Amino acid sequence: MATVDLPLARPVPRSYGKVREWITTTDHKRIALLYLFTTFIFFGIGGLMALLIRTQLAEPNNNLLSASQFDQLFTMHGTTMIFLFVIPVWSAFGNFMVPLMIGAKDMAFPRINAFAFWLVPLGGLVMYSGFFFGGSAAAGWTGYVPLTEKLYSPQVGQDLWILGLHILGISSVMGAVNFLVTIHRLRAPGMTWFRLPLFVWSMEVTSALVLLASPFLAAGLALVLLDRQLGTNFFNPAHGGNVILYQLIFWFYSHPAVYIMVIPGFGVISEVLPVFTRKPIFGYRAMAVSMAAIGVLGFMVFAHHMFTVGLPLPVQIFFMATTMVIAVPTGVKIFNWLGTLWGGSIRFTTAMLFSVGFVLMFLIGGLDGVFLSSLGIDYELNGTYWVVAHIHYVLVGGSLFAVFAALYYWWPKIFGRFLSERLGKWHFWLLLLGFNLTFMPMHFLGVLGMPRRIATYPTGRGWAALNLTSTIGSFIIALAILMFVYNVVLSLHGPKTATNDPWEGNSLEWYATSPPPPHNFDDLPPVESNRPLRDWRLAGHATNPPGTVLP
Amino acid sequence: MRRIGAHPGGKLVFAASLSGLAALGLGMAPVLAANTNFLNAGGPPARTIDMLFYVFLAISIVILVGVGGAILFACFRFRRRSDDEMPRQVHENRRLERAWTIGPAVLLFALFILNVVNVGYLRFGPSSVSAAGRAPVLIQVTGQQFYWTFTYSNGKSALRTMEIPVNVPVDLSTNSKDVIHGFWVPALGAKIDALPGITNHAFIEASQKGTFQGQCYEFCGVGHDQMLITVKVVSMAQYQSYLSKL
Repeated sequence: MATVDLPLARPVPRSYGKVREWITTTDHKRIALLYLFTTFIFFGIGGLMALLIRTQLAEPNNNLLSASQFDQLFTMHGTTMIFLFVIPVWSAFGNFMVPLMIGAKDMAFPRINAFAFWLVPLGGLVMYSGFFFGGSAAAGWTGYVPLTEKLYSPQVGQDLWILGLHILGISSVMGAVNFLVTIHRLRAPGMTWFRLPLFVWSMEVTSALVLLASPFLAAGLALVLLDRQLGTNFFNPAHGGNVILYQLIFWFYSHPAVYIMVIPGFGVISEVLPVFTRKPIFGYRAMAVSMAAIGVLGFMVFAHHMFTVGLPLPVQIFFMATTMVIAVPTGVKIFNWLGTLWGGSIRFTTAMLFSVGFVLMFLIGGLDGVFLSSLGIDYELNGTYWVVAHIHYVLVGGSLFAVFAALYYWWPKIFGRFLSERLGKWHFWLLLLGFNLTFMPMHFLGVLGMPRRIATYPTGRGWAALNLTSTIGSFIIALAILMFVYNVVLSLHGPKTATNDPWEGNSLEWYATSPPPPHNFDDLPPVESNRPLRDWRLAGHATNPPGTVLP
Repeated sequence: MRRIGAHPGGKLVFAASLSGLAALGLGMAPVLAANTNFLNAGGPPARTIDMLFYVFLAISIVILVGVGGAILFACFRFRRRSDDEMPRQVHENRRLERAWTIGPAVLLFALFILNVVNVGYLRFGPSSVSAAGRAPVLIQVTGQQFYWTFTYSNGKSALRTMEIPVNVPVDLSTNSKDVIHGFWVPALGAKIDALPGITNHAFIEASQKGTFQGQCYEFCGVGHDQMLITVKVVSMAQYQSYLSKL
């Protein structure tokens, strides 16, 4: 058995108090909790914005919100959910779990880690402060020029939006470097690349994408800022500027960003399914390689967001081809998850329900995306509610379901307590119902010709009933989320009953205590396969105290 | 452990969802007749897109039912029955994995080819040979916050409503005076950005007279939802007299 030297404990001066302790912490687990708390606050804010948007759209010719308010809300809803929730929430799980899963004591750069975190609330506050200075950004999360030029968006909120995104970009890049170095340098003895847990693989691929793609967003936004503040003409056609240039730069970041948001979810699902089927992940190598393939191909599909911009036809055909190619490794993942379920001994904990829900919803989100890869069909569906349906099937049915799977699965490890399985099941079924009620009708709305981002719509187009259905669904989602919040509150007031290895896990985090001590491990079991903890149990070692009744 | 589906309310939920689906089906009937539904094609380009859409839809439904059904089947069939149960540890199956890599790739390649053979027509209209005797009508479309201007070949223009002759390809050249807009009339099959500083081309054609609705699809500011488009399809003679009276 390998042993790991303990670092000399660095005592925290007692006079600092609890708040100061949290502010100055460099412990990866505490930083993870800060990420988790902060991103869920932003999730709540983004969700309230979504409810306002849906209420405005519940009926035709509604004027609950003015067009200007509506535009600010959908812009900040998208920006919040993408940049302040889904992207950083994976840093929460990555921070907590990557060091534990590879048998390390902490992340490679603990202080950079803390700095990267504190930039997240700062970036959010900078962006939101626009609301108090004449209105936030209101040009959509894509911020296309020339709408974001000073002439058309004079409010300082648009500048604050750019600065906020710059701050968040710096945070992402620092986090990515930290993950990459941690994964490359701090793996336990014996943990080769093909023994690495798939969640760690997913953080490796995601971090590489963040590192390579984020600078493009920063550059594109910097050019907009220069146009706005210093009067340059990068995007001003009257002086030879080009408005398509921005879209090319923007999507060169933002398409990989879609994978940045969903690949860690692939990782989570690939951890949860084997544990609750008592089977190895089907095709481990194919899973790891397909994630990497999606990461590489993710850089080659970006112009499929621009099929109606008027790019030369051969360029469009190239991007249609690459987009269809990326469906292949994505399909491999879905089939391999099916292969993992097949012949297993399946136990439906809440984490497992969310994982199966993820696979099914992601399947729909993959299929409706293939429609958009077709040039001909995209000439009708581009910019419609079909696209809104697609992104939400990928990012809610995909990423959000995976976030909840991760929460129910790792909650006992993180807090030493369980979430109620009973409430968790309510949470799952309500969310599944509300989610499909909200977003399935949007496919029909797209076919019926409803463009996205319109503040209201006329009668007589057949959109009213579908929109009302969607609005009702969004409130069911809200109810499901309230159920979750109630579950969290109950759990945090409940007893600490979680043992080290409550689910009979495969990976090293289940070897540590729940919650783990500051230095994570006193010793480590040997790593001789990609399921080291299962090997350890089968070798006759107990991972839970004798007499433990598993939940 | 409780079994899913063993809940006494299960039948009720099943009945409720079935009647919900039926209601949705009935409710959809008038909706599908909507003027802005691109599946109610008003001309040849939209019909071509509809064909593509139905092909994709059929394949998607087969895959959804097949793969989704297999996942649900596995969930019911392979539930854990006792805590001591240990399933066979299958790590991989190379043949199966090769099949579900190559199979979708072949299918997608076919869909790719189906698009490639149609896309030139959708973008540029009928080639000059097949369009003998049907010289396209040229109309310039200009977007600005928050209305559309349509300028005809005689230099006259009209706002918000465009008239086109039936059974004649219409070559649109789009442009914007300020931000990016998007011209779209679903039933006639054109969707193209109107960009400042760059002129784009698209083609529409109607094979029946009537009025078709559309609107701006690229977010352009607070009046985005008001940038409606009406296209009146009339006979060539009516079109000529419309132009002379402008």
